Amino acid sequence: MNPAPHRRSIAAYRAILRLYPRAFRDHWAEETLLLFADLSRRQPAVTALWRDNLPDLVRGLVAEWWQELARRPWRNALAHGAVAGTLLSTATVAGNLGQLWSTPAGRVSSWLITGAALTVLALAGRSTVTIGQALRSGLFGGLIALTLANVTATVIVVACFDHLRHDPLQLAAFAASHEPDFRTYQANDLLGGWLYGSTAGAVLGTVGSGAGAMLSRMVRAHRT
Amino acid sequence: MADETPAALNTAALHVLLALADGPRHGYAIMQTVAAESTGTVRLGPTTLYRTLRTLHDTGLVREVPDEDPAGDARRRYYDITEAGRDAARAELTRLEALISAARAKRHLYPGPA
Repeated sequence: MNPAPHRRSIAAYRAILRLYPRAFRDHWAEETLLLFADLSRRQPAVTALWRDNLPDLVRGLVAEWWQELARRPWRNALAHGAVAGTLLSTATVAGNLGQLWSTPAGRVSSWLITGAALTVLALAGRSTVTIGQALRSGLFGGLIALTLANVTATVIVVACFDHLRHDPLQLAAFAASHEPDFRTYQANDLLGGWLYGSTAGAVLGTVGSGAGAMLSRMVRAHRT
Repeated sequence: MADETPAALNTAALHVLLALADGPRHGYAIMQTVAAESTGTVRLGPTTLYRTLRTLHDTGLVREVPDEDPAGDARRRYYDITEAGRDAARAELTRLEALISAARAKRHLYPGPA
């Protein structure tokens, strides 16, 4: 057996184990690596060693992260982020395709939907144990929500580009943007949505969830 | 009255408990025992083995025990089955026996040993 490739295999295995969630790494990664090192000593062919162990390592990685995501703060963030994201996506669809912004009632509805989405994000902090968890929950919830809304906006632009090019409101916004052509205007608008929208979502989610957590603690303290 | 029947075990967990039924073992020995006892049909990879051991440990079905071999590798951890683990394994084997009996009743599906 040539020890160099096996040393490299062990180093590679260790590197992949580092991608596992802390919950597994802290107590079990060292032993797992020790066992892999045992197996590598008994398996002279590096290809066969990886053929036998890589699927197990990757399956474990996916399963561990899935388990980690299912833990309460993550699940909380996922659930609230998904609901808020669906609401924001609805507002995005209505605003782009349904002329929601063209009437006062439509504008009010859009703001109400956006307000409801922010309330959902703020509620993410209510059931958390610590303020730190509430902030993390809000941060991830906000990112998930704005990512969903941005994906929706991107799909709309890609799928309905011709419709948008003839839309009077879109044309007015394009004229005000001073961009050289409509395609560049839409691309910059989307990029702005992804960059600033996601940042705003993360900030709003974190602040909202933190405030929600503190408010619910104050109410509980007042009741008791 | 509370139902005290232990929760069902998955294949990997049952094999690990069976491997530990004869005494404490470290990870590599458990892996070898499972492969031998299943005549090679069940091969646990390192992460599957330790993820299973973690679940069994967290639910109190196995426990870590000190290594009594002075010549052994100090980095290796040894695991042993607990009384709750034996109960869980027995319950699972009883469930499997019942399943086999039900399957034998359907002789066209599972004729069983001659």
